[in-house]
Amino acid sequence: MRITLFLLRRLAGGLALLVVLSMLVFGLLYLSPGSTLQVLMGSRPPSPALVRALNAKYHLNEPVVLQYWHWLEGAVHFNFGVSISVETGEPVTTLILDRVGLSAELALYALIIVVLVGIPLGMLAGTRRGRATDRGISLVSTAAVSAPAYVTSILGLYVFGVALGWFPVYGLGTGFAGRLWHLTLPALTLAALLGAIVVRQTRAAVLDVVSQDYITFARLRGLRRGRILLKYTLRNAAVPVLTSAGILLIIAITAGLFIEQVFSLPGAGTLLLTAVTDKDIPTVQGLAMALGILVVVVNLLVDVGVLILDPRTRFSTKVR
Amino acid sequence: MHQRTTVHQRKEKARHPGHRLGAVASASGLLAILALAPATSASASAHGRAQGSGGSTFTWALDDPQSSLDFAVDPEIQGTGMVMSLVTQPLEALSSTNQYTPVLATSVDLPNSTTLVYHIRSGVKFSDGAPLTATDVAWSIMHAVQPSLASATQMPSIASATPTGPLAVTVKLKTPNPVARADIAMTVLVQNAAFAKAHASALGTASAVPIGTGPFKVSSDTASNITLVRSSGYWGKYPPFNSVVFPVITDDNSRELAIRSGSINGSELVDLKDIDQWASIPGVSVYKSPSNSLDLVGFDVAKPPFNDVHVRRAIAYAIQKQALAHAALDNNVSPVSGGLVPDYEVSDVAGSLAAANKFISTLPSYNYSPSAAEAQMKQSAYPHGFSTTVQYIDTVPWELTFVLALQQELKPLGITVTPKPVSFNAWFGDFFSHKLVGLNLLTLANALVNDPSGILTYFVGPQGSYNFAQFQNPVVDNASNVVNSDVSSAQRWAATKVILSQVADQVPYIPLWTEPSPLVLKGYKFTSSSGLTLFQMTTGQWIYDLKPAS
Repeated sequence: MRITLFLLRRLAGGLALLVVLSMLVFGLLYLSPGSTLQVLMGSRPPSPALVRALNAKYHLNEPVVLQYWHWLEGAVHFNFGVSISVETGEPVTTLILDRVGLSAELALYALIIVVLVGIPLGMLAGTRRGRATDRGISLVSTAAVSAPAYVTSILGLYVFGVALGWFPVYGLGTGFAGRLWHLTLPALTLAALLGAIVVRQTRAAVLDVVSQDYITFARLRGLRRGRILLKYTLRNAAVPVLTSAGILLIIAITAGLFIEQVFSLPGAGTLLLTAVTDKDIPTVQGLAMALGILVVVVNLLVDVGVLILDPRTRFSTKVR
Repeated sequence: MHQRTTVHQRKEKARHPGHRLGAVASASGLLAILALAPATSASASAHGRAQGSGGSTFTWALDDPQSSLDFAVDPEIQGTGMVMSLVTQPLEALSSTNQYTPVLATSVDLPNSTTLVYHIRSGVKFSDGAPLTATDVAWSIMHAVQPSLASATQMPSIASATPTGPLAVTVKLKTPNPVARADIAMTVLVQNAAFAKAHASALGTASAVPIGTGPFKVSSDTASNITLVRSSGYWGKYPPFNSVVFPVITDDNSRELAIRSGSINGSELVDLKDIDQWASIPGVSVYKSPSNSLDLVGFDVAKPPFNDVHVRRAIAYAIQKQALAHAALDNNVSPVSGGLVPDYEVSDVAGSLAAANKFISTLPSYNYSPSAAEAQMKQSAYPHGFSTTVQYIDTVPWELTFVLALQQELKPLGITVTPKPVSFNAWFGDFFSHKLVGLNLLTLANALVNDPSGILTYFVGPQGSYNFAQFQNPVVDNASNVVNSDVSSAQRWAATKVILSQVADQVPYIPLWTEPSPLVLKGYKFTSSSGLTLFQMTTGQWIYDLKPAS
């Protein structure tokens, strides 16, 4: 019951955060240089008739508070308006739903690579502290986490797309196999960055866990190495790794933006870039909400995951 | 005031984050390394390659996603124009020498100065099988003049378009307009009116792509690419491709890698300074296509210190155009001197290019001369100089270089220049509302028609929507009205000469150069060594002007 209340409190906090976020995004876009009207008119001279028509259509001559209210009114009914300039006339919800799927596919693909490669490498480095394996893994992960996403993207594109010709340099492909092939290079690029963080987190957590008494006792009891690693080390090291998911999400969103751009993937990242540049307020607002919801939900899931993994946190929740 | 120009078409794209991203990566020197690396044979075998010569698919990368496939909503010639002119066709094709070639209209009658009668080609069908009627043509013209659509600014003189026969459409003008026919040729792409009306709210989106009479129809429109396939029953000769694909590759470096790998056949090149880098790619041809894109310096002549003509002349003498063109744009531009606009834009009213040049050569050209600059400054009210802020658009690469060079060039005159970055939208907002002050740079002012009323009169008089210099006097204002009226060519040329003389004498603007529109091809060549003109891009002619590179 107390855990339910705790989760409800987190949900309410998330909702309040979304409202504040929407106000901030709307206000900042409004205050940024240039006008939406100018974006709509493009590079052509405005005629009074054109200005009147556009103002009326998009409520541009109304006070900013009223403009925000119009948006909020629609948003509570899940109507985020229509795109002003990215795809003129297209409902924002449709636009986002069309794009977010690709970003989710890319993120999932990268996540699978991270889990399958990053966590085992981190554990390997942690259990072989100070040895050549540890140094090698640490060196590679430091390089991967330090390299800017756009540099690794372009290098990857050149080496594997142009020089070696293993992967396509743009496009989405058709069918499952085609899509998988087209997303492999961007997913690897994203996974390199995220994996490096996971490797370092896992290594640090494993280093902490392997020095605990219960691991020593497990060894003394003659338990198999694999069992100690999976049952004792991995489970106890999982909490700090899991709690880093929030950071990973933010990095994935930021890096994904560059990666989508370089690999010409029309996902949520490229949509956000275009919408911000073109001052397409309804689209930016819709995307900000979608990303905000994603962050709130992921953080909530992390909380639930930690509660499941570590019984002590359940106890502390009850006490609070 | 007639609105027949666009400003900043190509560099407007440069503000796209993809290009910013590209700039960052370029700055890292990464591409400099890649430019030196040869393409390997392995790259030629990968799946998804664009078909080379003799293939049936042509792949042209777009550097910006299209906001709409309705040309009236997004009348950007190098984007929507290139794509949709293969699907929806104009009534006539206009050439750079103001010649008209029939397309959907077989002929045009001009019974009086405010009436045009279009005679529509018979037997033409839309890709959905419906016959082309006068109703479709009339609707398409009136659609393009809807005030809320961007195309409307290009056709301000159209009052009405009505079917006056099964294959005749009569267009009435509000006032006589010497380039109304050209406006319609360059702006209206005819589409199926019944379909458009039935999908009014979604027209131009992927769910309601306009239906046209062209050799292709849109088979798919996604955020990643637009695919055209042959339309059965096309009335004319098919281009030599079964399909045309337009992938959207917004990042400059990615586009360069795509052409290196052979994944695309061609693309526009956004930054003129990248021309050499692209030209070094094996098998790639770079075309500096001619354009009317004018770059210039303008002064607010209504306020001090630039209300002093000697200050303006001093600055004109102090600017080393040639050196600046080299530093800022690698000399990939054509200088404009002696007049405000390139000679070919006034050649039609002058009677010939030679006649235009003969007059322009008599105008003062303010070639670089430090001593003349100094002498003019001494005659001004500011013999010891002054301080001023010069804005530059932060996403237009050449402007910053130019302003920094200007800062050094004006130092000896005692003029202290402080550069100030400004966003594209903010600058153009001030530009159109005539709120710019001091000295300003204008980039890529395009004329859609080679006529003095195409752009020249935009820069002068109270009605001039580009007149950010606030340059007006009774002589110029009267001449501007004559140029924009339906009088004889001789009268219009005489008025044009008055404007050019006034501008050359009073120096409200310093014309710098016209920028080409660079295009890149791999596996193909254009039939003309100079590439494509805007006129070919907006009529669908460009696809016929391709030939295999071999």
